[in-house]
Amino acid sequence: MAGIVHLAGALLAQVTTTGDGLTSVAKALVFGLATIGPTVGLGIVIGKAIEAMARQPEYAGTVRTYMFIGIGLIELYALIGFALYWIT
Amino acid sequence: MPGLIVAFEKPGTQDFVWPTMFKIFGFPVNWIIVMAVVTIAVVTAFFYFGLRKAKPVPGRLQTMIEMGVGFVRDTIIMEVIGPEGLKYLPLLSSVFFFFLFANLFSPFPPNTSIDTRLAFPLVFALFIWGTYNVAGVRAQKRHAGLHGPLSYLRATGKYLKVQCVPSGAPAPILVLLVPTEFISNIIVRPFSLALRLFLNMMAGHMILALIFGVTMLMVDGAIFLKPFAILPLALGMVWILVEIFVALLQAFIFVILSSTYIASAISTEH
Repeated sequence: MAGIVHLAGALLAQVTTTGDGLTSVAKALVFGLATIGPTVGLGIVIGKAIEAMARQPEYAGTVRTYMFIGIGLIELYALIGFALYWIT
Repeated sequence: MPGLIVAFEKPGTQDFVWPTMFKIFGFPVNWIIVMAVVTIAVVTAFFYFGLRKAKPVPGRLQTMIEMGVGFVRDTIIMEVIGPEGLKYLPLLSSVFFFFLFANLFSPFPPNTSIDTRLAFPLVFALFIWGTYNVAGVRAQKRHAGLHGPLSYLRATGKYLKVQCVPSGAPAPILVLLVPTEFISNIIVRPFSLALRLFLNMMAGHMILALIFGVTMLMVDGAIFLKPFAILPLALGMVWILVEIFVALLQAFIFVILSSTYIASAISTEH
């Protein structure tokens, strides 16, 4: 257990010493905040799709196709947050 | 605490830059170019050996090819574009199989997907962009029955009007809507298409590198850390399965979004 704590401390020290401390925290926060919206959106899309499939099982294939279109459009915004982590 | 762990190198964007290995006719070749050639060779060999002697009762490779092309035809093109989209089947199924193999080289050896460089998805996305814009202009020309020297110019105007001016919007809002629609429909689309694939593959690769880096760190670390190395190792094995799923899903999403763009371009009313 102590080893894990030391490892976590060492990793945190590594993270905060690679740049200005506050910059690292801000970069981590960018990705964390960027995931909130897309995650809620994905939950809504997938939940509604499951609801639609349960109501109309004969349209399950069509609903699944459009669900994946929605997922593809949404997930880009979370990934842009991920990219900003490396760019900034 | 010195001696507890070895130096830890964070995975980052520097992991995706390779030095030049050798030069062919002055053209520098690095590992990513080698992987591009390998991917093209594997896809070509897959189709060549699968369809060299096509039989009514298909063999193993032919069954896989027929399943893949049938999936692109039935699930993607017929659902999204309709029967008039069947002429895009060769293009879209080629793109699907190419990205399928390119993505699957990320979780499987040699663990280098060419989609982790933005250039490769971007070229494909720009090709799709040209395809759907030309298809949209041609559909407008056919729909309006235009002839003569300026017909393509007028069809382009009609196409841009359908793409950028939403019907039924009141005139004051159009000042805001038309630039927004133009930017999102004409300019941003190829880049978002390419970025989605590129960032997915890069993110998955970096997370794998992080997990296995921590595993190696704990194996090389202090004696009481070594048994705990099984935890990140197990996590990494599960994450490889996630990566295989993401590789399949991203090839599918690239092709289905391409066909959505083609469908919205060749529809003659908004």
